[in-house]
Amino acid sequence: MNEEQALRRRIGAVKFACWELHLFLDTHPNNCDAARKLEEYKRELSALTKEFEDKFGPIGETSANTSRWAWISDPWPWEKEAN
Amino acid sequence: MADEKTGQSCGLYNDLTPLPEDPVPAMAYVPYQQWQKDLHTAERALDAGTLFPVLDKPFLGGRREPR
Repeated sequence: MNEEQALRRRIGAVKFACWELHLFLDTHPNNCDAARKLEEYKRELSALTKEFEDKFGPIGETSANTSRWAWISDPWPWEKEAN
Repeated sequence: MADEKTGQSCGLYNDLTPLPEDPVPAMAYVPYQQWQKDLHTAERALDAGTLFPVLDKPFLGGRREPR
């Protein structure tokens, strides 16, 4: 598990936590603890995403930190050195 | 500010108890989920499929505790 995969997994986990809290807030709209926890995870998510994009390039097509055309320099999925 | 114990701030949905005050006989009720302080860590939540331990019900297959 190299650093990129570890970071991707962490980002996925934090994003999942955000979705969970978001769903909880749908049914418990005035719960301050949930809202506070969601804000906390959202901050962590943006920090992790920024760190990921600094190191490995765009994480998604909507990445704000890297140039829009950074995809071209990455290897295509079928090219062997991709994984 | 928020009532720390149940985490509900003053406002709209204050009476979110697990069951309504006047549960009608012969009606099925699903207890309403309450906020809890101890959540799973993000990684554990990803594996368990939920952030809330109270909803985390792994199949035990007759055993007492998870594998």
